[in-house]
Amino acid sequence: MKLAIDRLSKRFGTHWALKDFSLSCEMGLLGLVGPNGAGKTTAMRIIATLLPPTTGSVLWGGQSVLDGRALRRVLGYLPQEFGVYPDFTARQFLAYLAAMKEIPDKLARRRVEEVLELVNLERAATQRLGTFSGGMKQRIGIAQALLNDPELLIVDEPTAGLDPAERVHFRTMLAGLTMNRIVILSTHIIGDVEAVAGRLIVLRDGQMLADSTPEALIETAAGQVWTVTTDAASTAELQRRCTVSALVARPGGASLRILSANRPHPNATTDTPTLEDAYLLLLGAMPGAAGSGESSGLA
Amino acid sequence: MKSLFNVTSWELKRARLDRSLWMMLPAVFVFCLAMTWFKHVWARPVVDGRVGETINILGTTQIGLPYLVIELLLTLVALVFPFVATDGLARDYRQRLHELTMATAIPTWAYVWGRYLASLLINLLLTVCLLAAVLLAGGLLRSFAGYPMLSTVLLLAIWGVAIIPAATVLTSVSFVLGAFWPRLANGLKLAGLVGWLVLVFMVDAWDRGTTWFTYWNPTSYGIVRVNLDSLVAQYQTAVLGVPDPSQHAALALKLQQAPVSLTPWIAPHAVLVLLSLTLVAATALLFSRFRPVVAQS
Repeated sequence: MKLAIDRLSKRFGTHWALKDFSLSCEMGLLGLVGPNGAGKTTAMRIIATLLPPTTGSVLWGGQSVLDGRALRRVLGYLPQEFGVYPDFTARQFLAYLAAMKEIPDKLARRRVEEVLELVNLERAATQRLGTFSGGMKQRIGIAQALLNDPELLIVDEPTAGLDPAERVHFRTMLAGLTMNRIVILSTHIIGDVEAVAGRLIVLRDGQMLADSTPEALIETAAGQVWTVTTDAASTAELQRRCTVSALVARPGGASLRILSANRPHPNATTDTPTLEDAYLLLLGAMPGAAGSGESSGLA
Repeated sequence: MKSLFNVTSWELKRARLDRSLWMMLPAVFVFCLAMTWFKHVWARPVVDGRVGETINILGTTQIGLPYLVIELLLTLVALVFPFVATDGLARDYRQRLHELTMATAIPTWAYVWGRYLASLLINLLLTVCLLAAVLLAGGLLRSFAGYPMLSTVLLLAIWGVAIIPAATVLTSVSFVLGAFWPRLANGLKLAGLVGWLVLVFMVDAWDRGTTWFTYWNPTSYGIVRVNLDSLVAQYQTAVLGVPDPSQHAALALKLQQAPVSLTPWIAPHAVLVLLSLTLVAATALLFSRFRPVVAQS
């Protein structure tokens, strides 16, 4: 199946939350990143048939998703924020959503057990959701999105509230799910997309800044990432003048990681860029850097 | 239809697990039982008869049963209906489950109707508690205080003609308001409660004599008033032939045991039920799966 988005825009009052967003994708994991207010959730909600676009279209397998039901049958969706029925157990809640997804009863029973196992909640299956921690609740959200073995899986900030071990587990699980489906992952955590996404979309102010691979994006940051260990006075000066992406205090000074188009300090040496460095450079977080998709030639 | 059944049955399962339902059902039963036990006789002034004379209306007689069930118990139990029904759809919105549910394949009509039916069934269950309490209290009053045995047939007729329509109207209106304005759900519950009380208590101001409102008022207050007025009129005529004041109470009791006709209310109340269901049907058509929820990041 193919998801095709054409010049999608969404306006709230006078504010354009999304502007001319176009995308075409087939099987694989697509990372959607951007700062708060970039339009990620708006884009995902439109694709998930939860929000009508102001203009533009979304096609699933060549058919418009305006009616929605055909897409919803193959959709798995984890919203950024969601609630649960606190009196349901994990198993009951999943069975309820399986019924809402119109999964046949026998298959639903099997799928509920499978997804509970997948998110490591089989031992908590009979526990009331009202007693769940934030991380467990997030895992139940992930589980419900997978109930119908979706062809299109949309997950919005799925690792929020998960501890590091759970995050890694979830990332690995998500990567394993990309075989026969499209997965769209929206996140603030660059490390999550770096680990699993084959393709990366960067949004800012409702517009696409970049549509690239993580490797290509990292490549654009080559020669613009510096490290230096210096005294306290120079540290303060560098913090004022440049974008410092990391700072480790040392006796009498600090070790800094700096994003800069030019050598920021005589003792600074270039370092291997990470995706986070490239992302920050792309967003123009650094004075004097290539701050737009146009200048980086990615979008 | 499988979708409709799924939505209804799961909503009932959710309600079954909710402690508030298990508090509400016995509370309504005990409340109705206590009310009937402690308040089952009303002194009714015979305005145009002898000055200062009153007749006692007993809650277990033909005339007294509508008085007991409609004016006293239904008026109060119905105040709970908006609290159940307004949340039928609004609960998902308030508990941020709306997006999870709306991203599933469930058809909109099944979602709306399923939740409505579940709300209606819960409210009808509350009315069954009312009936059970009245039956039990009637039996106790008969056994321990020698009151006339209440008519089960009349009680069921009142349930069918007055209580079910009242529950349906109030459930439908509250449910529909909650569906369209979920953010205002708590205020709407209070509005439903106040609206009901206005219909009950302001009826005397609007409804003098026998007007269209006597038959179309969903509180069924008209059933009580018309039958009481008729009783008083009959009493005023009959009492003239009974000069011994000590026999007046027996006369009043005899007259209150005359069969009560609910027939004039059947058609208007059936229409009210149909209109309520039409309102829900319109909601199922107009209900939008799109909601401006969560941050637009």
